[in-house]
Amino acid sequence: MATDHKTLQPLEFYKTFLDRKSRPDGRNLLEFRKVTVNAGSIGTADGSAIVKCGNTTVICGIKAEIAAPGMDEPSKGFIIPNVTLPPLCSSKIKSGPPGEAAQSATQFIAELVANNIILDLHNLCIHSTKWAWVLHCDLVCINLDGSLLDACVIALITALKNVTLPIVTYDEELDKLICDTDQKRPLEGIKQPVTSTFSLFENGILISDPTSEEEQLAAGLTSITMEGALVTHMYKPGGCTLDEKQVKKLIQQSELKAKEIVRLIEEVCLSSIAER
Amino acid sequence: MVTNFACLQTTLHNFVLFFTITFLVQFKTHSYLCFIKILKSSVTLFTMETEQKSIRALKCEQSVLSRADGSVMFSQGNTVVMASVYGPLEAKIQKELSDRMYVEVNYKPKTGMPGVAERGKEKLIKTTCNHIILTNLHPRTAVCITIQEMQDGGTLLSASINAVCLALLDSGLPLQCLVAAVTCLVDKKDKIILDPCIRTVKEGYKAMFTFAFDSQKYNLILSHCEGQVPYQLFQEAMELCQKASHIIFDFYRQAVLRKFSKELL
Amino acid sequence: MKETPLSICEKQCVIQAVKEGQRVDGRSLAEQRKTCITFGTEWGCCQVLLGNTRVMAQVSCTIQVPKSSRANEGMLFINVEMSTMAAEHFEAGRLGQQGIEVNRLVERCIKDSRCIDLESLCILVEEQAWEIRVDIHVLNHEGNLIDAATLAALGALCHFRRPDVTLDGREVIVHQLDERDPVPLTILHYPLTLSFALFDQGKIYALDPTNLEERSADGKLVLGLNAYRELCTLQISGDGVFIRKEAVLSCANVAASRAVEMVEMLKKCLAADAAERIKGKYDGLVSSVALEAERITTQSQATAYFKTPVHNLEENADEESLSVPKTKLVKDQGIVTLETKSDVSSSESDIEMEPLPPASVVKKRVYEEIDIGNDSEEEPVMLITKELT
Repeated sequence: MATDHKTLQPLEFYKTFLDRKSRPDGRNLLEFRKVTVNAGSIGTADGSAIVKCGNTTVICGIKAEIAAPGMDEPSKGFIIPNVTLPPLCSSKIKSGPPGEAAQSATQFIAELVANNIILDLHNLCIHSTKWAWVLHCDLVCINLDGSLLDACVIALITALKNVTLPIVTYDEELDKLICDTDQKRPLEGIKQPVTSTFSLFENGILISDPTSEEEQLAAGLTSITMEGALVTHMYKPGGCTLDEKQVKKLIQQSELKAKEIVRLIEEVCLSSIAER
Repeated sequence: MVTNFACLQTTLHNFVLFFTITFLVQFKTHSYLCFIKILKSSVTLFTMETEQKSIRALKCEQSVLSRADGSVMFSQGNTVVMASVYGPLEAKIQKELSDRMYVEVNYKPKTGMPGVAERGKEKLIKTTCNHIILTNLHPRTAVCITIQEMQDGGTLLSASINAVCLALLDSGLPLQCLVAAVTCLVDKKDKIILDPCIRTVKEGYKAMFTFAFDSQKYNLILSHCEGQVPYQLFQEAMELCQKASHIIFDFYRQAVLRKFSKELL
Repeated sequence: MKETPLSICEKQCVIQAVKEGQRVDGRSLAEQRKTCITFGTEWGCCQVLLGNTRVMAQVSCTIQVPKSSRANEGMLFINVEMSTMAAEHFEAGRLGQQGIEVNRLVERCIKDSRCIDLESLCILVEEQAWEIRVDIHVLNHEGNLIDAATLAALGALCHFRRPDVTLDGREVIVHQLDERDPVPLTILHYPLTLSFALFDQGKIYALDPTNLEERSADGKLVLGLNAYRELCTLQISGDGVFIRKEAVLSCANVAASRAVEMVEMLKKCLAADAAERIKGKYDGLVSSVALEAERITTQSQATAYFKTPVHNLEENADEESLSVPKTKLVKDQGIVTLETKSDVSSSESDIEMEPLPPASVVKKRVYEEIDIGNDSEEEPVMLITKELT
C-alpha cells in the first residue's frame, strides 16, 4: 500500500511524513546521515580518501606533479579538482561527456579552491616563478544518493590531509631540482570547510542532507559551506525562496554539522598516521 | 490583409501583456506603501554604515533586438549585458518535459569559448528562471534565454540576472514573481561596499556576495559567494542587498510602465 | 528551432518591388541602411548596427609560440559566434552553413588581405609572438551579416591596444596597461565588404540586402574593397546565377565609393571615441544603450531616492492614480475584452482610412516622445499622467 502511494504520488507521500516532522528513512528533518571516512585507501596515489554519507560514496585520489607556475601568480601552486559521475553511480547518469551535475560540482570545488578556502596555494610553491606543485584531485562518485557536494568536500579535505610530498629543493646555480624521495612530509595549512546541503519544500519545511529522491521532489536546494564559525560559501541556485530566519537557522545547523565533521576528519587522519 | 492580421495579432499580444502587467501593478500597489516605509527607515543605514550608499545608475532599453520575443540591453554602472528570450518554442524531443516548459540558458562570454565558469553561471540563472517562470502553463515547450556579456563593470552575474528578468518581462511570458540581484563586497577592512565597480573588485576583497530576491516577500532566491566572513557580516551584507533590491524592483516597474505607456495610450 | 519559412507572396512582393526599382523599406537599390558604430570601455570592443542587424566584435591577445613556417610573424585568429540570440534557427556553439560562410568571408577580407602587419607582432623569432583573436558575436540577424561582421572586426582591430613588451636579454617583460601606454596594431589598409543581392538572374542588384531580401534573392555578390578603391575579395554565390561583367564593374564602382565613405566614418568614430576617453569618465557601451530614446528607461542616480523620500511619495501617488483605471479594467474582465475589440477595430480603420483625422494627434504624441528623450527620462511617469489628464 505504502509503495503504491509512493510511486503514484511521491510528493504527497513525502508531505505526509514531513507534516509529522519525520522522513521515510526514519530521520528527523534536520538529521544527517551516518558519515564514514577512510583515509589513505589508494596506495598508488599521493593522498586519498573514501567517504560515505549514507549511500552516497565518493573516492578522492590526489596525484602530485611539478610544473611552472602561472605568469600572473608566480608564487602559487595549483589544485585542479575534477568531479566525475560515471554511469555506475546512478541510473540517471548516462555515459559520455560530463553532464551538468558533474560540471557544476567541479565548478563548485574549483570556486572553493580559487577563494583560498581549501588551502593557501602559496604553500604549494617550491621556488617562486620557477617551480610549484600541481595537485590533481580526482573525485569519483561511485554511488550517488543526494548531497554530492557534502561528500566531495569531506573527501577532498581528508585526501589533502593524507597527502605526503617528497622534499624538493631548487638549486639556483645549477638550475636543477633536487628531489629527496626518502623523506616525505605532509601538506601544511589545510583549512577545514564543511559543506551541508539542505532541501527546501514549498511550505517552508527544511530538511538536511537529502537523498537523491528528496532532492528531486524538493522545490529548491541550498549548500552552505562553513569553516568553523565563518560563512565561506552559500550556494543557492534559484528554487524556493528563503527568509532571513530560515537562513539563520540553516547557518546555525551547518555550523553544528561542521564541528562534528571536523572532529571526525581529525580522528581519521590521526589513526591513518598511526598506521603508517 | 496580411498586415491587418499581423496588426490584430500584435494588439492582442499587447493586450495579454497589458493584462499581466496590470495584474502586477495591482499586486504591487498594495505592497508599495509598506515598501516606502522600509525605504524611509533605511535612509540612516545607507548613509552611516557603508562606503557606497546605493547602487549605480541603472539603464535599460527593451525590445532592442527585432527578432527575439523579448530582449533587453541593460546597464548597471559600467556593466553592460544583453539578454534575449525566445519562447515558448517547440522543444527538442530529448529535452521535452511532459509537465512543464524546458528552460535553456546560454551565457556567452565576450572572448573565447564558454567554459566551466560559464556553465556555473548558466546553472544559477537557469534554476532561478525555472522558479520565476510559470513553467507549468506551457508543457512540452521550451524557452531559450541567451545572455551576452558586453562590458565588464564588476558585477556581471547580478547584471545578467536582472537583464534576464527584464527580457522575460519584455517577452510577456507569464511569471510568478520578479527577481532582482545585487552584488556586494566586503573589503579587507570589513567594510561592506554595495554594487562595487571593477576597480574596487580588482583591488582585492575578503568576500563578494551576489544575492537575488523575489518581488513577493523579498525573500532570498539565489545566493552566490566568494570568500569567507563571520555570520554577522554575512547577515548585514544580505540585509543591505535586500534593501537595495527594492531600487531594482522599482526600476523594473518604471521600465514596464514606460514601455506600455507608449504602446497603449 | 527551424527558421520560419518565407511565404510565396512575401517573396514575390520583394521581387516585384525590386523590379520596379523600389525596396520594401523605402530605400533605393544602391542605398545602405543607417550604420552606427560604438566602442566599449575595454580596448578592442566594437559594436556595429546596420539597420537592425547588430554585431559586436571583441579583440584579445595572448603570447604564443609562432608557427614554424612563419617564425617571424604573429597570428590572427577570427572566430564568428552565432547564438539563438540572433535568430531562432541559430544554435549556440555550432556554426551552421551560414555561419561558416560569414566566418570564411571575414577571414578572406581581413586576414587574407594582410591588412594587419603581422611581423610587428613578433616578440622573439621562433619563440614568442602575439596571437590576436577576434571574436565576432552576431546579436541580431536582419540581413547582411557579412558586411556588419567585417566592419565590426575592422573597427575592433583599429580600436584595440595590446600591452607593451620589452626584452630583458631573452626574457620577455609584459607591461600592464596602467604601467605603460598600450600599443595599437599596425594597420596597412582598411578593407571592408559590401554585399549586393542579385535578382532576376543577376540583372538587378540591391546593396545591403535585409533578411527578407536575402532570402528572396537569386544570389549574392560580395565585394571586399579598401579605401584606396582596391578589390581584395570577390564572391558570387547562388544557384546558377550568371552576372554580366559590366554589372560586376558597376557594382564595384558603387561599392568602392561606399567603402571610402564608410572608412571615413569609421575613422571619425574612432577619433570621437579617443576624444571622449581623454575627457575621462568614459562609460563606453552604456551610452549606446541610448541609441533609440523611446524604449529606454533610466534611473539616473539611484541615490536621489534616499535623499528625497518626500518627492518620492508624490511620484508614487501619481503612479497610483495612473493605475486606478487599469485595476478597474482587470476587476471586470468583460469590459477588457470589449475594449480589445474596439481597439482592434480602430487600428484597422486607421490603416484603411489612411490616417487623416488622427494625424494631428499622432504628431503631437511623437513630439511628446521626443521631448521625453531630450529630458533624459527623469520622470517618464509624470509625462504619462499629463497625457491622461
